[in-house]
Amino acid sequence: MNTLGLLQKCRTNVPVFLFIAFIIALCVFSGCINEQTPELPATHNIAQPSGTDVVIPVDLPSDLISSNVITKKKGVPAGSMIYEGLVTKNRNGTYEPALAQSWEVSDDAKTWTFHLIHNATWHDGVPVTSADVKFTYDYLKENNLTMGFVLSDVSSVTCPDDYTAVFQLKNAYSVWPDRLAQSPGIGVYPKHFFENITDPKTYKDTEFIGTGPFRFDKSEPGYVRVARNEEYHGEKPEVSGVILKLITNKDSQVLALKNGEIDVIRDITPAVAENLLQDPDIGICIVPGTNGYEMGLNMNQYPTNLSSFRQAMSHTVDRSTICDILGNAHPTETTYLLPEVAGEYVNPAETGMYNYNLTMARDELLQAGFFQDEKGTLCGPDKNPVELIMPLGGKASTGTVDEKIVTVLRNNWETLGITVKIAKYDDESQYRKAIDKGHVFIDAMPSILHDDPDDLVNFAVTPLKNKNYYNFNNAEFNSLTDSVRNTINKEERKQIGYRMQEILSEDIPTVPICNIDNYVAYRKDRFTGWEKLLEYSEIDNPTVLSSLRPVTTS
Amino acid sequence: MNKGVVFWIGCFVFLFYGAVAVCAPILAPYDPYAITGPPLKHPDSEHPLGTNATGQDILSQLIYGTRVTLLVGFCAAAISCCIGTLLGIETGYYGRIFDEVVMRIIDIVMTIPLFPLLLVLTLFFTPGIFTTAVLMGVLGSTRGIRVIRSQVISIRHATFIEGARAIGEKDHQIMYRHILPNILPLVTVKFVSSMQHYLLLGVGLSFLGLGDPMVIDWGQMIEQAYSSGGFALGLWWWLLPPGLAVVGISLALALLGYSSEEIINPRLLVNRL
Amino acid sequence: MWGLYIGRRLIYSGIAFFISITITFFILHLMPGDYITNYLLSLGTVLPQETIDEFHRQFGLNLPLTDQYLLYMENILLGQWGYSYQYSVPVLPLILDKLFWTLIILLPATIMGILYGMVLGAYSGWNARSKRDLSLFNVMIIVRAIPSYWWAIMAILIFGYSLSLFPIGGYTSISILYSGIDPVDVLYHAFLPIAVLTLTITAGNYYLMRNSMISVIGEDYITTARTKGLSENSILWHHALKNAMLPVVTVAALQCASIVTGSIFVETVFSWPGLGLLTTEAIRARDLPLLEGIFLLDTFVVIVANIVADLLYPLIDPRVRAGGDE
Repeated sequence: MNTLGLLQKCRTNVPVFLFIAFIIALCVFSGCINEQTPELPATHNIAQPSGTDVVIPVDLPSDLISSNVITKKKGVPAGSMIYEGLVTKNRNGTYEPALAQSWEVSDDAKTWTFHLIHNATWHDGVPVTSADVKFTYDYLKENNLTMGFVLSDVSSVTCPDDYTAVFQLKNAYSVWPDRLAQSPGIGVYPKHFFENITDPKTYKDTEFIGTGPFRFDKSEPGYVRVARNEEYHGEKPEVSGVILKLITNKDSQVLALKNGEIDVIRDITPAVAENLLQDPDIGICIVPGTNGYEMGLNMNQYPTNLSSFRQAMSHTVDRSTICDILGNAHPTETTYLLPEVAGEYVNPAETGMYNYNLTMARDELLQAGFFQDEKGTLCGPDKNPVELIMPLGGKASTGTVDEKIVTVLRNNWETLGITVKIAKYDDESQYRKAIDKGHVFIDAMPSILHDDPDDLVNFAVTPLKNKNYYNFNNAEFNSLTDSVRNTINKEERKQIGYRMQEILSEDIPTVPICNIDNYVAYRKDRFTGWEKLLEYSEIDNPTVLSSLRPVTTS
Repeated sequence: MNKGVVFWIGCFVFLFYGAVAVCAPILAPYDPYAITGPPLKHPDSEHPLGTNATGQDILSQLIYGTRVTLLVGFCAAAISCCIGTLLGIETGYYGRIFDEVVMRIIDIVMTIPLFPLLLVLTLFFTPGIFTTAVLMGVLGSTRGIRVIRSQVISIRHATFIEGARAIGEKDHQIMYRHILPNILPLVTVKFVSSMQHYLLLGVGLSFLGLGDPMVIDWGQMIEQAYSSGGFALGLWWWLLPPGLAVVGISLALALLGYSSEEIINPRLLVNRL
Repeated sequence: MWGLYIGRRLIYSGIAFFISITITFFILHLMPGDYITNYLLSLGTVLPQETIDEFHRQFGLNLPLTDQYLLYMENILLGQWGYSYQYSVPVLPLILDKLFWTLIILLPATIMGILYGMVLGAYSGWNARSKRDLSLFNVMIIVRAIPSYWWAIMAILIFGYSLSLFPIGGYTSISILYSGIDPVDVLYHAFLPIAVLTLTITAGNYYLMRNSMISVIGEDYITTARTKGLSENSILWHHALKNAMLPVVTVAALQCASIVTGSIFVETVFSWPGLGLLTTEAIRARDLPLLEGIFLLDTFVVIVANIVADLLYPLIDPRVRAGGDE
């Protein structure tokens, strides 16, 4: 192959080289432009919503309105603006009236009486009465609808008059309104509408008649609009409506926020939040402690079935490094309940005992009969190397938080000589099955499930729930779970809760790690009032949306 | 002619990638899994390509990612070609009922949409790169079988095969001592183009978030860059390198495939009067 | 003769279809994971067993697999494709709705891709080894080596983000809520996805057509035509093209059939929720009726496409019209 031949070939390929060079130039060009994060030309090719509609992004097509509201959780998320329940709960743990203005409970915590507000009407004008409340219960039960399980504690509903509904529970349950409000919460559905629908499971709803501050307007491919309910019984929203826009990619949502196509975005990482703050029109709201993460231990598998092993492991969680990496996390020093939301229910004597101390961990392992061999591998009393199986998946995997936590844990465990085997599960039910065969798992729960001693039922074994993920079964703990359900007096519940937390710190079925803040970014030039998020957490919460005020351009 | 140089360019680039994959521990400045800096750092002297959203070094991930990406493509292509060759020879040689049955089965399997089937089948096994590679190879071998089979059919009645049969050679010997070497060039070409195809498919699967999350590969890097701030913040040093790396190896394999195809299939050479 | 051929083909296709959906049914129902368990787990940590059992009973999931299969086949023959677990709406209208959106980008791209591929491939093949051919060929090799998701990301980054010439995703802008679907708006949003898809489809068809053309040129009848003194153009149009098109037509018919998988990457990058996203979400959620419907539809389309290809073949190539089954 002589030089002349090469040159000839180069000439043939000149167009190709030019093409490649063009592509690379474009890439570098776009890269350089992005470096300076330009001000994007906002509106010349992007239509703006008319009136004062708030535009909120959703991630999945199934997050827009379901046409079968009554079978799903209030047809979320659009449904949660259209339908209301009897009560709601805010982050401080206070129950707030929704369709019920007040309520009382009998001394045995079995009879709950709700007094409905008098001026509520359905979106088609029909007044709301207690008959609707009773109808909802009966209808869900008769038709075996999925959401019926929320009212499974109820044995009957009676209506002494048009605005009173009395629920009779099968068993005493002192915090039953929590089920109605947020765990998982249920709405009240119109009797005059649904009584004519004989097959709710296949009925395609197009009207969505509820009582909420917004009513359904229209649904188009990729969008849903709900408009302000002019006859709303409570504080009428000032915005003219809410638009849900489907944007499947998180980063595209961020770009849409920068462009002005949407007004708010949730669940962004601290790094993205920092970058967005550079834009004078974008503000950040940090909603504290929305999700708690813990390291659960399986008490049915060796070696985590050994109390001494669990004791040692409780000192291997380096919370400060984990929080540094996550960026929006705060260490949890308690046995389970989150101080931010549980307040005085947290036992002050049981905090800080799971401190990070690898030397202590090593010593405790030695005392328990574990030793490191010549290669540094940790071996048990039976001389076999210690290997922990850790499935990943479930809610903790959102945003790969569990992977980041595991990176830190793994580093520490490897210095102790422990090998870790990890398997990731996309499917929640498979993940839950794998936990049973593994040793350690990272679990995440919204902080609303850590706010009351009743939530400690997570660790109990009851007739209704004969197994928990930790395989923790303590007789005293189980009976205390019952007591806390039956007891109404707050002080008594607190003491019971204290004792339960004591038991947890003795047996250590779980080691709480941290709780993370949710970063929300919003456009300051469109609406104010986003600070309400600090009380209600979710951007599609009707109370938050109702308290937004359009920014007037003067 | 052109194809000689093209062949060598493709070869060289491919071997370069292979070398990077093998020498990854030496070349990479950090452990790709370790958190070695603050998240989303811009490139500097410590981290030439910056860090990702977790704080891991992007350059090290890029280097280590070569391993998984090449491995998946190679294994899938190897499995696909082995099955394709085996079944192609057997059906092409024996013909008749066995051939009919196998071909009909393949026809039916090919009516089931490949990609969703692949996604569903991965759920049956523990997630991992080998699962992905094996499934891709098995499902993708159907195309290869047809091509090899037709080649075998055309050789089946050649004189030297008849001669071998005449002197009493067993079927197996004929198939693997005589026919196989003759179709090996075709198989090699198919292997190279398959490798390109499966490599891109493997990266694509990771990009959709369906790969093995426990190993690092370029598809995953692109996916993370595309959805954890890389796109929104315009962090081109995170987004571009894995993509360009994929394009590079894909191109190299394409060049290799094209040039070797011309060498092997003389009918592609033009006959002009 | 002709009728017999079609008849045989249809019967055979019917059997293949039947076997195919049987296999699909069993694979889908053996998938690990359960929709209702996952849904309830997403609402909280309490798993009410009665609700799960009721759901299974309602959808027949507690029956033995063979019974479920017979029920399924019966329903399919009656035209009832079932209700999606996630959306609680009938499966077929749901799929067709999403398919419509996928086709908005896939159909123009496929048609243009096949056409451009054929034209460029024929041109390249006809002038094979010339400078024009080689430069075009090299460009096409690069185009084909770059995967569709990379083209999509680059397109969005450059044209959507940096230059702001096109939107960064979605079907339409918000105006759809106020003034209804505006075809121009949809086209504007569809432009980049269509462009990317066309690019990738063209490259594949180009390659095939070029190879086919080169093989055809080497055939004896072309040499004969030349010695007969026919003009180059005449040879190209009446002989070379028609014969070179044959393998391309078969492949093109099958390409039209891969509607489900055809654009998953482009749909993901451009936030264009079509059949691809519906499928991946259905798999994730273990929405069995929806998945069965998608596989069924796709299998059906593939089989029809195969029949069409088989029927087109003899129309183009008279040699095959005699009725052989090769």
